[in-house]
Amino acid sequence: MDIKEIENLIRFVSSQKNVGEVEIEKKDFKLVIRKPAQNIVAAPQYIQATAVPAPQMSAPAAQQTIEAPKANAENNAPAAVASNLITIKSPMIGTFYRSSSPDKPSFVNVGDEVKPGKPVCIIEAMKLFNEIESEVSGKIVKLLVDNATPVEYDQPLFLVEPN
Amino acid sequence: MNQFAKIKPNTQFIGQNIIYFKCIDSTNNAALDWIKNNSCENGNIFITDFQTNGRGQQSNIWESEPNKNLMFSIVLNQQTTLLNPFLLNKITAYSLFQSLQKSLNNSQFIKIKWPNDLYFKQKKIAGILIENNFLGNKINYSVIGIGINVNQKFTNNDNINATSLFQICEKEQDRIRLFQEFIEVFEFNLLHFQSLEIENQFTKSLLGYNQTEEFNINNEIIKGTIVNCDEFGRLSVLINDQIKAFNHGEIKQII
Repeated sequence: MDIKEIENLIRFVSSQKNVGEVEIEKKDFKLVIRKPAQNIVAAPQYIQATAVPAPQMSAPAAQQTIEAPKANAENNAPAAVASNLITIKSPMIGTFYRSSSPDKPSFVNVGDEVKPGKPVCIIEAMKLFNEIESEVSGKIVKLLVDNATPVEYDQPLFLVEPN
Repeated sequence: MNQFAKIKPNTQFIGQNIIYFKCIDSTNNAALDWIKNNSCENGNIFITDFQTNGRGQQSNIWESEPNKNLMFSIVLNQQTTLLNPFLLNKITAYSLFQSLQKSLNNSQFIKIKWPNDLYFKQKKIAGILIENNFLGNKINYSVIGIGINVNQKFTNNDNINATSLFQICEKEQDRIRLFQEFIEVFEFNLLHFQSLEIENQFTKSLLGYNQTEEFNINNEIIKGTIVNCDEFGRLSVLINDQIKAFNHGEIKQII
């Protein structure tokens, strides 16, 4: 089996919602492609391909991780999405601010409780100021974006542990 | 005295309820506080004769003499309208453009400086500060703050790049009438923005539209032509036979 065939196989497995694992065994060669359990349903589709080569096989085939076509850098951060955490996302392209003005304290910090209607940040775009309120109640467990940095539409901003 | 109390605008909801303050820090803050403590009544207007801390972008202070200008904030309940914030900005700026143009006998010198300042020749005459509130990813309400220099007198010592209707016409203007005209045209545009092609009208009213002029892009002076303002509010500029779209802050028009 060459690298192209392995890639194609990984692509095939990643495209099949109901396939979690494929195992191929030949006389001197065994290949297991296994999706982490949550990846069968979750958005960030990183597929782990673990080739278990026989001793005579060349090194490059060993322990490779190949990115499935759907995955992209943006989905990198919220790997925990598949757990019970809820992501607060940006409703628009703009600049992310943690407070209403530089001399004011941040709306929320890690560990703070939020409830529906609690402001969490400002997204400024084209001189329009957009205050984003939480829709959920829970605890902020992670900040995913630095203050005063650009954000894309739908980019995850906070992880909330619901209560 | 509250002169705004006598206004009966010919509208369905904009300005049917006008809340007047003789003096307040900022009408946007008053509107936002009101909504948080009470309810968001569609079309309510908060207006004052003197603003002590009018906010502009990056805490620019809107300089204003008492009883001379127009400073007000309109509340829009967006739970049913769900207007795209960039479209709302265009409707607001174009309505202000129309009202000012009418006050100045259809002057060709009134222009919208992207994204939302109003200019007469090279000087600012009115400004807009829109604050939107989102619940999660859904727009909830908008507060549209507007400041218009009506009868303020500027001296050369003021050293600010601003003008007023008085300064241009050399006579006092009826700011109550201007206010009423604005809210009526604003509601009409809000209700008919598609058939009126407001987005297109906005673009055509931009300062520098379809003219070759200089821009500062990354501290470089580059010649270009404004050709559009897209659905995300970005300015599309034709530079060396290529159209590029810029966010606010990425490009500065040299005027």
